[in-house]
Amino acid sequence: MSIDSVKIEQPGKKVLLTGNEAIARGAIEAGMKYATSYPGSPSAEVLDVLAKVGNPFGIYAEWSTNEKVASEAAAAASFAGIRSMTIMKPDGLNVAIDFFTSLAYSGINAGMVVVLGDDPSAHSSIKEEDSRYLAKLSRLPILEPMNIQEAKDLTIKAFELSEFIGLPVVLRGVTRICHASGLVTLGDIEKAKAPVKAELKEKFLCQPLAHPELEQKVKKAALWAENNNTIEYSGPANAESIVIATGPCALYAKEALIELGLTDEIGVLRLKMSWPLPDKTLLGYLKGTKEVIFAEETDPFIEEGITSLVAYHGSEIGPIKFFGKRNEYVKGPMGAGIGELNTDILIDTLAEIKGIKRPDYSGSTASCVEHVCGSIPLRDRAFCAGCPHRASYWAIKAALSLDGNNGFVLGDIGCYAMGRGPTGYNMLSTVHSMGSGVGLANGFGTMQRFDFKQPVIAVVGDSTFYHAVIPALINAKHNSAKFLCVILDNSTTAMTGHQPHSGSVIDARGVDAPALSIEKIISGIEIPYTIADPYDVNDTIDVILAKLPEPGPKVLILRQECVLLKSKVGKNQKMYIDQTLCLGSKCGCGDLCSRAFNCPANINAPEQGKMIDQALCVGCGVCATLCPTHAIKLVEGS
Amino acid sequence: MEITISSKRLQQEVIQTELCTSCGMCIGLCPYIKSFKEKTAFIHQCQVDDGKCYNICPRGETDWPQMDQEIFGKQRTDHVLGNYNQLLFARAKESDFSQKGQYSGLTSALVSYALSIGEIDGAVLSGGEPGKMPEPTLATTRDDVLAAAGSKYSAVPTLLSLNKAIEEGFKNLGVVGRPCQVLAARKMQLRYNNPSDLPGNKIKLIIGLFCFWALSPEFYEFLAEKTKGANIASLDITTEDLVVRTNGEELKLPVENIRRFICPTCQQCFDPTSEFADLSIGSTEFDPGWNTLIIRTDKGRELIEQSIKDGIIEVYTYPAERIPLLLQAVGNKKKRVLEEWEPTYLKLNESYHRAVERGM
Ligand SMILES: Cc1cc2nc3c(=O)[nH]c(=O)nc-3n(C[C@H](O)[C@H](O)[C@H](O)COP(=O)(O)OP(=O)(O)OC[C@H]3O[C@@H](n4cnc5c(N)ncnc54)[C@H](O)[C@@H]3O)c2cc1C
Repeated sequence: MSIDSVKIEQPGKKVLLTGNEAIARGAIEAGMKYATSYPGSPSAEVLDVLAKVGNPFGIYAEWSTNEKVASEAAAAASFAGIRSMTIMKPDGLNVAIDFFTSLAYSGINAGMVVVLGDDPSAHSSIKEEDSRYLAKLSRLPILEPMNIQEAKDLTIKAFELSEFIGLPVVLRGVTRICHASGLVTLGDIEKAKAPVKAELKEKFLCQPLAHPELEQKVKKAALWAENNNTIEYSGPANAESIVIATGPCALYAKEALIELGLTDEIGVLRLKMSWPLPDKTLLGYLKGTKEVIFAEETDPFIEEGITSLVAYHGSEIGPIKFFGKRNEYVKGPMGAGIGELNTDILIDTLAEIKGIKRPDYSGSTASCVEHVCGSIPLRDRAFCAGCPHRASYWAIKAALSLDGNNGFVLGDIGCYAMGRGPTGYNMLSTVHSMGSGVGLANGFGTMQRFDFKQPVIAVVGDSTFYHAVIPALINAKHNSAKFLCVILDNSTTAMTGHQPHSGSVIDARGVDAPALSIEKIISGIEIPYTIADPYDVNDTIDVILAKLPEPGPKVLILRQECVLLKSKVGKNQKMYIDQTLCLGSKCGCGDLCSRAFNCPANINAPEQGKMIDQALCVGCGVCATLCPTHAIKLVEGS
Repeated sequence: MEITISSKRLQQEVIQTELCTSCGMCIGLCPYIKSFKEKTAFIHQCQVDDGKCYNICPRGETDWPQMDQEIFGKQRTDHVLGNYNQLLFARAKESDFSQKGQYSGLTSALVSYALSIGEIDGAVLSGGEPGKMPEPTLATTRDDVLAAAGSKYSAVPTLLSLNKAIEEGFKNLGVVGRPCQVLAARKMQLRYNNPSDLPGNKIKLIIGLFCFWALSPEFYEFLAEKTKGANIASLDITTEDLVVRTNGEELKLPVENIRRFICPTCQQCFDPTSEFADLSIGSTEFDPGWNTLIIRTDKGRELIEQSIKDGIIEVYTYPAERIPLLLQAVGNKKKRVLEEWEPTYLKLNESYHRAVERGM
């Protein structure tokens, strides 16, 4: 599992790849030359990989400012005859949706694949959104790989389909595909070496008259699905009960059937393409079936498609009993349509439907998790030791308390969204989508006429600033919205793995690139700004207090590099605790460092008292500034 | 369930009820309590039971008779002026003090004298330009004291300077404060003095002002507006007027105009004359060249005797005809507080209630 495996030129060789690497490999094998993305989990690494290994294949790869621009740039490549790919998570598709619904009408030229990394259970997202509905809305056919090999293979198929119908095609990965690893048999890379020439020869206009043609393309896609083995059946011939599954859920279903000893009774029908459906082939399988169980993540997408299909053909295929999310048979611990599926959930579902007892199986996922995790102490999500965001939130919290006018903080998307939890002192009153904090601040900031008096702070990251905040700030300036926008500038896109952004001095491929200065952009909008160091907590508090009452929009840039980047360079300072000065839990301190400020490097050891965890501490010195007795000190000369 | 965590009690009983007097005594005792624009703020929850912050708060539960017992060793007989030794007119003799001071400059002269004889090594005062937001200060010289002279009519959190000075190593500190500040400093002195390195042991002299109310900082905005930004040379509040002297001009505004700025907590104040101070000093409401002086403790008496001997101040018998006026003003205020508010922080015994029934 090394990204070097992605570029190996040995067709037939088996290598271990992650799902994201497999998608990148598929794109290379398909001769894709132009890739764009805005980083988002779980699919962020696809572009990372393409940027790192793509050069010898002449691949252009960029981290775009946001998903809308990314999609537009990729579409341009397609228009000019170059296969392209754009990669995003569902939140990104939401941002780009206006373009995609228009792109459907204009159509494209060379193959264009949209990789969507859905995140069922929202492991690293603020919501679990099933992107397939918006894909369908934009008339983007959807392919869903079941395993890592297929992540590569379906990527190649997606380009073929895209060119066959003249529309972009979605490859939908979920976290368990993107982040999982598996053996992949490499394919031919010859196509990647063929030179390409970009030239715009046609017009691509979105116009209502194109609608009939678009619907024809969708029909063509369904036909493609019929003719390209997009349905795979395994199980007994003429089974009365079948599970219809997409993506990795098919594997969970097969495993569940083995565990329950039902493999001779129930078959598994897997759809590689979840929209549009190959109606004819599907009806063939459904005829004679008495029971259908749906296994897909997260929403009942194929469930709706197939039950609707059956409703039109009831008289031909006879009555079928469906078990899915609508009647709440297929459901995880949180309910139907919520969270990932897994083998355990499907064992329970199938056992209930079949009226059999769930086997007492000690090897179940749940019991394994319990066995392993039982002894692991629960740990809340937290900022890293020395994270500048912790210091920023401490300062914001202190400033708002001092100001005493019931001020509040509007959050945004990034590591700092954890400001909603204890690690950020529960400071956030709202968290929605990229840029929404500042958008909401526009609303609050213009409600003075309704006797609104609370001070408003909107926090955004640097990457978010470029992504979606600039229009909101322009709006604020023009409408004199009163709020303080605090830009937590840690010089990177930290949450998704430190990708460069428009303010970085290098681009995705590591090549020098012009860095856009946040302050110059803000000056251009004529919003007053101040730059402060969040590690200088007291100064930051003073600046916030001074800025809050000023009219109109104001910006405070709290600039301090992400500690993970810094720690790669090596830490420069060491802290220690002078036990003769430390008050510990007594009045006058009350565990400020380990409880209140709560940096993971400040520990309260039962016997030794307060200590600095030297393995974690980056020497930021914030706890030393805050310590009421100055017991936390810098190791001289460190 | 009874709350035992001090900071929570303080927030519930004092901050949220707007009873905080902004004395400043809790500020800087820990990293969680801070002051901004004369408002006390909690920036983070503390979890300590029996913490200093509540125990020294003048609006925390206060057993009045017990305070008398601990300070004076006896209960009071005078329910209007509290325990005292002598009621006098007094004035500073040096013109520097009378010029810079609010009235005769008696307070400043005494503080300066106490510093000069080494009775104290620092004095916690309220400095700043007249008409501007004042600042807690620490004075160690005569010049420092003169710079902080004059009444500032808002709730300066003076005592945060006391905490700072103790942290900086001052060992014999003097305090000039409003009655609430006197009570807070006394609580600190009485409750946290053993072992001797505790802060209470560093408080050596407490001079209290007469004070019927202080104003919120919006008062300064009001002033700036009324004076159209002119430099304010001095301020005085008499029974009828707010008197503002700018360069050459005198502006008189009826006291009624500023009543809306009175801090809500002042309405529940039971102590207009700093009953727990060593010395209490007020105006004479009559002759700005003199001050009213109440000598309360032995320590206060010794300082007065010595400063008279050294020619720093002089005293004069309190005019008999003015005594009823003083008693009436103070007595009425105390009566009103008990009858209208029944403050929950006040723990009094029967003798106080009987005194109210008698008309104080
Ligand atoms: C808010 C307020 C209300 C008052 N109300 C009355 C009243 O109703 N009746 C009455 O007789 N007297 C009142 N006084 C007292 C009076 O104004 C004089 O301060 C007092 O008589 C001492 O006069 P002096 O000439 O000795 O003053 P100075 O020698 O000028 O000394 C005054 C001292 O008070 C300190 N000080 C000034 N402002 C404050 C403050 N806000 N808080 C704490 N310390 C401060 C200064 O640092 C200085 O050390 C009040 C004082 C204040 C501050």
